[in-house]
Amino acid sequence: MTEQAIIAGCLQNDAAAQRELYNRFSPKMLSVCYRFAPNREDAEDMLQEGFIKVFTQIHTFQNKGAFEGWIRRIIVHTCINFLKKHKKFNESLDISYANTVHVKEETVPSIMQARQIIECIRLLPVGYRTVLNLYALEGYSHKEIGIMLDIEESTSRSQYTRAKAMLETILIRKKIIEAPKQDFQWLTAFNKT
Amino acid sequence: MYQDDEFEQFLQDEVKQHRMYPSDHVWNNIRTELHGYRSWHALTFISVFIITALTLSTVLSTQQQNVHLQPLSVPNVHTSQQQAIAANHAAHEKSRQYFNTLAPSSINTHTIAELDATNDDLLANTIDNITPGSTIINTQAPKSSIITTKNINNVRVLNATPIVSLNTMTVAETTEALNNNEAVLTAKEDAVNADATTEDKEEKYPLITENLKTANSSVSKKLSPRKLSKFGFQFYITPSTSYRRLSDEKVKDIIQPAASAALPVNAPLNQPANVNEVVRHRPAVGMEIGFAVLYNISDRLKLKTGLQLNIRHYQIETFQSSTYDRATISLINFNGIENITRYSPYNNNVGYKQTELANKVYQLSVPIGLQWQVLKGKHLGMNAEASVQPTLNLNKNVYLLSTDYRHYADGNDFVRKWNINTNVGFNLTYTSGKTIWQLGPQIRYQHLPTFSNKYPIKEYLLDYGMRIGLTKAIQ
Repeated sequence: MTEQAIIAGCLQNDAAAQRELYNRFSPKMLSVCYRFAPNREDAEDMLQEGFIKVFTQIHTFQNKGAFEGWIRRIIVHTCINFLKKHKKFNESLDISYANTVHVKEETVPSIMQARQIIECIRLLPVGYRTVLNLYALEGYSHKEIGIMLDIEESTSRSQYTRAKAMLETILIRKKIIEAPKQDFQWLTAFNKT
Repeated sequence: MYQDDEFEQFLQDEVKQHRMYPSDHVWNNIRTELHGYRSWHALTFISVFIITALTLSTVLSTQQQNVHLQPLSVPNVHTSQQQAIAANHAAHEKSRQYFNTLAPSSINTHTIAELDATNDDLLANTIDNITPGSTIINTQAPKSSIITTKNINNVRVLNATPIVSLNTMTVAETTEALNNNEAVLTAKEDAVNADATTEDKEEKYPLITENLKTANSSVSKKLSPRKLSKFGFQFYITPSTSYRRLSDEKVKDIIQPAASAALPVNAPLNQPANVNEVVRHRPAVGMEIGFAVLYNISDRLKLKTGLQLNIRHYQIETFQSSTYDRATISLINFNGIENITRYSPYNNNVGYKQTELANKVYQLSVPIGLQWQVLKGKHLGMNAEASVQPTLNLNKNVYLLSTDYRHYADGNDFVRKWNINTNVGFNLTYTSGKTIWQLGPQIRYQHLPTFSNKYPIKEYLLDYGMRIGLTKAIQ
């Protein structure tokens, strides 16, 4: 089925079209939810709520932009509302927390690097994780993040900086990425002279 | 939109293609939220079926009991008592002979007992007033199975058991009473015939002859067998196994040519083998449970219809993959070929472990057919039956094969709601009273494919079973 046929069918509440839409986009959207949720069960709950909103609000899609992007925005907002409703947000933590995170081999499956990275993202505290997801992966600005999470724009920036540093530490410890090389160019220039 | 930052770019590149596959209950919950709970028609139909069967069997059983309890005749005892009393009073008129005439058959033993004490004198008085040489019948004699005769004053008296009413007696007593009545009537007829010429019979014994006629007609109404109703009802159960046959003509004629045309010119043609060679399935035990009403068109031919619940079940052998793979299902509609995507962990060829998928369908049928009694003995017999069964699919749990024969995916959305089956069977029967037990093989064939015409792989089901049934005729 083409995307237009799916949308037309969903507008008429056709179960087959809805099922096709779900099958086509649910794998990617569950991955999105999984990055926000503390566990898989919550991720599936977020996905379920999100798709119900997609189907009930599909008449508001105005064919401006990609359909997947429109679905994604609904899913992300659903994830945020879910976390707020269940009071999953913690206060921001000090950067030293990253040093206390012990990444066990078995908690980070080695199936593929993408999955490993996602699992590392999920190790972050929920507040850091949410800001990092919204800014680095979903493309929201800090201003938009502030509105969504009811925080200041500056708070969003600082939370993101800390989240990024923490994630880098985890990824380096997991050897998914290499530690950044020091910039010794000034020393090389000194030696030459 | 994104910051120009290598780290963020790295995250986006790694994460954006990641997929995760949700549990089945997520879609079920979404569907329920949007369309409400799927009404389980099976429960409704099964309940209606059971209630109807119980109601009918109760009603029909009650009618049978009422038939047995119904009296052969319904005389008015009160009226007969009055008649007896009136006769008793009238007997005081010695000139009247009616007291010794045959009493109506409606007089019962109670009446007789009441009159016994007062009738002895009447008899004696009556005899005194009867023309010598005639015969009278003393129906007021004590109850006795022996008919005695005596001559009193040259009047032959036959002491016979009085004709009694049959409505308060048991069957055994009634039979005895009828036999006695016959003897009495015979004696009376002999008396009438002996004592009168043909012409004078009715004149001389008007009341006797009149009552003889009445009694004869009542006696002739013996306990004759009641005429059987033309209807009967039947319960049956048929454990069965389901076999399936697949046909992939549409795939070879339409889908594969279209897929080949889309390939590059030099690409090798990879034509899958016949679908029956690549699938592995085995039959499983299902069941048919039914209730039928039979109508006797003739002694041997019966029309049969009813309700039947079918459970069809077979197993598909496949492999389980560690990931959800993309399964493409090509559908044929008026627009051409439409590809549907499903994600499934069931692979027909490879996987980390073997698994079996249970294909199960619940159906409700209305069989309409004929039953022919081939052989009919005293107890044993044989019949043959055939029927056409419009069938409604109720709940289902089926998997269908992707059109590239590689994966199995959820196929519930494509199952036909209605189908047609035919059934043929032979039964050995054993008759015990009004009950007929039957046992015999049955075959049921599904005429239309299981899935809608859009799906190009056609599945036809064939069930073999052994029917056990119980038939009761209605009387």
